[in-house]
Amino acid sequence: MKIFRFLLIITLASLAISTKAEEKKPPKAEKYWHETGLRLGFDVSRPFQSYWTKGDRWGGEVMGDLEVSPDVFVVAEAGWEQFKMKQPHVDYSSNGSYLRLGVDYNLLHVPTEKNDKSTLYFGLRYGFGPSSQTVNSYSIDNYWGTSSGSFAKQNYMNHWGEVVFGMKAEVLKNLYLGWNVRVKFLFGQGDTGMPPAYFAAGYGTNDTNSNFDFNYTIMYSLPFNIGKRHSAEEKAQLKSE
Amino acid sequence: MLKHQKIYHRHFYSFKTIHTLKNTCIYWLIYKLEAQSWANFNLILIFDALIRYIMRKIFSLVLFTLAFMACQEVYKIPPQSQVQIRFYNSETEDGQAPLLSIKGVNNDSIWMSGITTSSVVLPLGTSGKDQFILLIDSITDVLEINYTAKLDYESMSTGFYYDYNIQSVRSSNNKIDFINLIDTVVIDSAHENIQIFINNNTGFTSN
Repeated sequence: MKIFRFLLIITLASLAISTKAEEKKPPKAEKYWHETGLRLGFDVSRPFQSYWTKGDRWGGEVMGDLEVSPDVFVVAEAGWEQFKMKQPHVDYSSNGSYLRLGVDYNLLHVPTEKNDKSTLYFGLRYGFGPSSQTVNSYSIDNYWGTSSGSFAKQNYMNHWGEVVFGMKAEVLKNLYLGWNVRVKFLFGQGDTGMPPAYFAAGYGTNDTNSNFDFNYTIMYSLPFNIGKRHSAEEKAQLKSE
Repeated sequence: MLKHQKIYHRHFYSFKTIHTLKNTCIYWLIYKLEAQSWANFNLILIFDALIRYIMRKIFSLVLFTLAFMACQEVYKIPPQSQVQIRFYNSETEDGQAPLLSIKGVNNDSIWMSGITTSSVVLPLGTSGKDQFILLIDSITDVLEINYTAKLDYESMSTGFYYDYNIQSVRSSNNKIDFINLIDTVVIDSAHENIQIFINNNTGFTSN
């Protein structure tokens, strides 16, 4: 506690002292390429989704992004998921694969000489993919007794959109850790008759009109320069020459 | 080494007991900012305080997350579509609340026992025809409902249930004078389907 107070006092004092020093803000960064090549990675959170979602849900996801102009990245994410839910009245299972395409826009602008490749981004995605579902058994209890049944495998397509916010930080050269939160909106699912489609791989269940999700990614930037782009460091070097 | 860097290093090494994660983050920040100005030094201190605050709060956050996850596996009971019946006086056609007991024919369970009410809901099965014994103000009548059942769905996390379409209704005429079938559709939101008009007979004879 004492340490905290000490820090607080020092911080406030230093802030007061340095106010004048901070008046001279560093020059705004010129837009520069963060990535010279393709960045590929995978999502470490997908196998553990059961910890925060209903039922037994797990899968895998790989992704890649490419900076198409300074601060703008095109993104592709592909994955597959399996979902099982056994509750007192329904034994349900579903699986499927998906592809999400979209763009990320970097909100961080730092001085070029720092060569900071970390990004804080906002993005949009369009997701689609086939899924299949099977109701292994269901039961209906009422005053007249219990009736039960099952439904054979049904195949259908899913379409949805996502709004993404997150960050990616370079922790080692060309190696990035990142997280993002996303809200998903279901556009449509194939008409399967009875029962209607319930789970969409990559989206989740359709209990509500929108779903929240969380991803944690590990990515590696391939050390190839696509289109002779100049990183911030190189740009600064060229400028000084 | 610059003056402020010396100060920073003295300050930094006096907190060796602070969590490794925090130190790692600070090292990262030093690397990023290169501690070249007082402004950066201030940022480091603010970051240091922020991390300490987050570390303290993280325990309650973990508890909250665990509690939230524990609530995830609670499933709702599936809905039921039931026929709603309302009682009326056959002479005045006003609503009436008789003393009711109800039991299904060929069913050992009593659905309702000795309740004074002006309306009641009855469950239907899947056989297409269900009969109920109604004890209305101590007078027995039998009500028969013919229907078709259609499987409906609430959600996989809730379950399935049946909707019904009533084909016909008939009854004995002891306490019941006549019946009106006003809505044949029986869905999970209860609404009036059948009107039963009852007479003023008490079931007792006077000397």
